[in-house]
Amino acid sequence: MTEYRSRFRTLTDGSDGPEDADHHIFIGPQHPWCEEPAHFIIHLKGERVVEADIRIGFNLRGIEKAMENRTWRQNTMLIPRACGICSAVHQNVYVRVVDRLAGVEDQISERARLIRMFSCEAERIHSHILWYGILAHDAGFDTLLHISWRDREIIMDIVEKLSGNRVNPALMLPGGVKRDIPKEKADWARPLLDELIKKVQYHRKVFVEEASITNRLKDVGVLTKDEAKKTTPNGPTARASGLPFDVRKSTPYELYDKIDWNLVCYPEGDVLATTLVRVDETLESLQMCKQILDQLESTQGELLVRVKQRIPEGTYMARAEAPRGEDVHYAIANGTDKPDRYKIRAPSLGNIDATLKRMDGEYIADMPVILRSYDPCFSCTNRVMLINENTGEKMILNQDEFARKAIKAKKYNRPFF
Amino acid sequence: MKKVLVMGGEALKNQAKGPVTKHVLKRIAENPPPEDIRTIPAIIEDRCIMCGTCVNVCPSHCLGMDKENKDNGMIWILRPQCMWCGHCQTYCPKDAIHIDREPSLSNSLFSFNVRQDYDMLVAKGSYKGDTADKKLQELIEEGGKKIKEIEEFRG
Repeated sequence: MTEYRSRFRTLTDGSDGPEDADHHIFIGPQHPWCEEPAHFIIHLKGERVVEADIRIGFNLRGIEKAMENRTWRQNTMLIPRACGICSAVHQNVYVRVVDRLAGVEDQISERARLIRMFSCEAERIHSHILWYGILAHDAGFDTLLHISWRDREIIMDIVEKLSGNRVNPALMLPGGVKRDIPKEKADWARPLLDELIKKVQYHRKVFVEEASITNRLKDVGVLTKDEAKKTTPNGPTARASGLPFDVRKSTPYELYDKIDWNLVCYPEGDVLATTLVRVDETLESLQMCKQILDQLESTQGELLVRVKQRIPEGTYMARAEAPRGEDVHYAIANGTDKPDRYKIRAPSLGNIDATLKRMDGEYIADMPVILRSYDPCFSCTNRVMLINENTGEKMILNQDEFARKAIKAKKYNRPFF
Repeated sequence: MKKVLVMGGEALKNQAKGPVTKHVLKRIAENPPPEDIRTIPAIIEDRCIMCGTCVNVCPSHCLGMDKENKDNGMIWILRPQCMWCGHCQTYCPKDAIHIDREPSLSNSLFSFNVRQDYDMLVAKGSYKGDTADKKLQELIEEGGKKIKEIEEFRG
């Protein structure tokens, strides 16, 4: 067994790197996302990655502290802003925490729970479609980006019609949901869901059969099952490495145990497998959405239970399956109308170590795809600085240039530098 | 020569076609926003009882209140601060909050002299009694000063 070099080391000029590396690449650190803005440091020998490292914690927005200064009711609308795209899941976990602390968990009707689930699944669909579109863009296959994002508008329209907003549905409240899904809207949404299923099946066909994308993704960044067990990824990253773990199956919340759905799991562990996990999950979520709409017709119940402003003392931890993995919230209530402490652990943090492991021994030209593989919500301000250690020459590339260079290097078998 | 002619044909075609974005505007006109879309709230004055629930519940602190009693006070909304969550509408006990389907976002402000203009900037609030008049005057003066500053800055 090789000696384990700890990750998360402080390292600014590359002098701390492994001895046989001759180039150091810095990616980051501006990722104004949730809690995980990351600065990647990649040590290279020639074209191969010797080791990758990371520094995090550049952009703490203090959302947890801000929550301590607001009431539980106000926080219901603040918590979806924790993440740009998985807002409904964050709100779902928060709402379940407050339900439990206020003691109204058992009174929430089935109808309210079904509407909550619909919101979460619709979000999973649009998040996954967005992700594999960007992955295709990074791999140099822009046609699929355009096709998938065009088709994504269908689910965005459904979300907008049902909740009043495209990416921030905010349907949930402590004690139930804000809005109903009436029969007319359900009937309107059903044919659109059928249409989207056909389109996602077409995307899947492209990913499986089109040689220009499969050659780019197959056997790239392999994370074997044993490595996955050591680095503990979660969500689709783990499921692509043969670890069949999903919070919805293992500890069912809401009504996930009363709906028919399959756990998607692939044993290969490469980037293609993570992609196919997400594409298959999209199809799975789409059929779950249809089931939920069918069940809503026969289910009646009160939408909102009254929750008092002051939450009694207590602590509770809840978790849910976000599109990227496991999302954990922990709250301490002190009897007033404000939380004493609130902790959010978003899923990408657990996937970083596995992604670093994935990079070992890979080509530098594969980096854009591998970095994208765990769905890190990179911002457009992402920059790369290349430093030649011998000459001290610096080169700053933005993400576009980096991707273009990588694609060229891969396509024509040319050196990266 | 041949290339010029080809491009000339393209140009003539484009002349006859009209603006490229024409069909976009048409599509927007054909597909208006959904009926219950969430935008900036407006308070229906007749129903408002000045209880202050919306002010307490607002997560972005965009609602302000100054009141003495039920018929004497003012609730105002700061339009730029609102994040369109619709929380005030959910918790209002009297259904006094109406959410506009088509908010006029690009309204510019020319003077601070009339109440209507103020409504345009701060969205529709609830104004009752003398307290409201006094407070409104204060806010208008404050806003006027800011506008003046901006104008001075622009030169």
